[in-house]
Amino acid sequence: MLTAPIIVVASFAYVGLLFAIAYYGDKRADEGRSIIANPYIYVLSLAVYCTSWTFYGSVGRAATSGIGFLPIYLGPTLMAALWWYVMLKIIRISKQNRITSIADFIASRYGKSQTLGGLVTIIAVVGIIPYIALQLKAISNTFSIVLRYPEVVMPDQQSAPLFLGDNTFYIAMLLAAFTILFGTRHLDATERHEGLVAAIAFESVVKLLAFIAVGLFVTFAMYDGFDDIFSRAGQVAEMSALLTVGGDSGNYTAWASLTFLSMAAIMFLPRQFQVAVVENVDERHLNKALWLFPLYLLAINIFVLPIAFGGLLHFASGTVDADTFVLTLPIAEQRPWLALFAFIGGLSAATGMVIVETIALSTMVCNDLVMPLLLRMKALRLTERRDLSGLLLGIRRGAIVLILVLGYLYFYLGGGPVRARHHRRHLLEGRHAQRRGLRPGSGFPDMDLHAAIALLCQVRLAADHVSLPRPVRHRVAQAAATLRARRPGRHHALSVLEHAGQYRLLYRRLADQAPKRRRARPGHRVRGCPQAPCGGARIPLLARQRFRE
Amino acid sequence: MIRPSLKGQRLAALFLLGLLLLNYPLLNLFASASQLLGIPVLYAYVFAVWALLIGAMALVVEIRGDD
Repeated sequence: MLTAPIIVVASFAYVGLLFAIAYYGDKRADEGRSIIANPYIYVLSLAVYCTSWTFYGSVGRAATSGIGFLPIYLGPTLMAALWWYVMLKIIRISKQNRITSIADFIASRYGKSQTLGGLVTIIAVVGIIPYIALQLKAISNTFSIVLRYPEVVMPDQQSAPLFLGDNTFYIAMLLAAFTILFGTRHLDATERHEGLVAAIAFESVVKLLAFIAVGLFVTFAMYDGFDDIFSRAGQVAEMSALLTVGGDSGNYTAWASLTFLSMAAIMFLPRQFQVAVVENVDERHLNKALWLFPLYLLAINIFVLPIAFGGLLHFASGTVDADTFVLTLPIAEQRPWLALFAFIGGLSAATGMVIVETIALSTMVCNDLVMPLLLRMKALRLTERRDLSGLLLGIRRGAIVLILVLGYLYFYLGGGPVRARHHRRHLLEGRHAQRRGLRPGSGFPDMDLHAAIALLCQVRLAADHVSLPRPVRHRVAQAAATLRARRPGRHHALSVLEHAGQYRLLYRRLADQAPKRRRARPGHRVRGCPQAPCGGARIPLLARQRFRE
Repeated sequence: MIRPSLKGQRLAALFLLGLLLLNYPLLNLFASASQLLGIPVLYAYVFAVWALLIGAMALVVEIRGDD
């Protein structure tokens, strides 16, 4: 009944549907009638947090450690309560400063350091590749399992030939093609992809419904409800141990540390930053998101334990990998459409993660790693080019393909138990702590308001090729000196000036592009300066908003 | 009615409450093998606390003050 052509056609039809949704979403966005401007779509896009790890792996973990699968969902729930302060601020800062990725964000908090941006990008890519490999593994394994319907056969663990002979390679390349088509059709300064968000929201619905469908089937059709499953599990010796947390304190430590780790993950994973911050349409959506997103997590986890125990009870121990119960239980019970639905749900979860994560990573690689290096190479004379969009898109597409090839290689080389996310969190947190030690403070918290305005005005005016009368330059130098004297060990003034240095370059570029007649002439006395504070219109928006924080 | 600034503080309080309820000392109290309505006590406790936390967060956010 479920032959290979049907499965392949169904998969392509599903992805085709996603494209149609994305295309429609982008079209409506261009018309100005966005379909994603509501909080429910926002919440569903946040659910890209749930990958094939949620769909398949949760059941696998529940089968070995009972409730131990749960902390990675409790963490985001608790973190969501803090979103009222933290996420709101991040969204506001990011919108004002045109921040489009987590690397940008971290770099901007430390004085727009390009080194830091590049470093974060490299760490992110290295850390996420195992995670992507896990999704590829899920897709290819479940594909081979559902191909063997009506038998339940675990996929052959022997390695296939590298690259061209390996199905997984084709899956990886197809995903690369989809990602390129989803995310790099055109350049958008705000790095928003409305169609993508619509497609991801749809995927979140599909994977939730698929999982609940299998859950309902196992709980109520295969058994007689929750109490039946749990009481039967309690009677089997090995399983009754799973009904509670293990006695030794190690388990509780793991519980707490996983909770904290996932709290960091929900904030710092590139795909979460992309959907939660960059793609955010209206900050008021956050109000609904902070309780609806945990509700989604709750809903998708209700049936994990019943499915896990149902599988353990149904299959002889050791024959079927617990990770696959979501798929193999419908197959074992001869339900082809449910099995197909489950497969599509898992496909949904995996492709959603890969697409969003790869787009976020490629944006970071392009903006924070490759472009700064290319701009430094004077020989390329990139600053003289009129239109860099072809180059930027090319870099992004190359990055997407590279990331997926690396993910495939990791999968091929059989990366061990995947602790990718955890590894990456450790790296991030360690680097954070180190950087905090080196460069305390960011922004202008201690500086005198007037001095800071005067400084920025000087920067702005310098960009306008206006030479300043002496008093202002002197006042700024005075302010900086006072600051250094006040706090001898601190680096505030330096980071401010460095910050200003970046602004200076930026404003010079902008000034170059301004039409000639509006540019101030050298020696021209600019209205409102050098008195401090000068008229509000002259101060860059950035400065004004920073003081309000 | 609840002023807007109170919402943030109440949510922070819920965060702390959740941390307390869902970690070692209190969690261990429920880690026995008995059952409640057919569901093991531990699972019932964790899911019930989770659902109640979400409900409390929803209440805090959705109740409108006079703004």
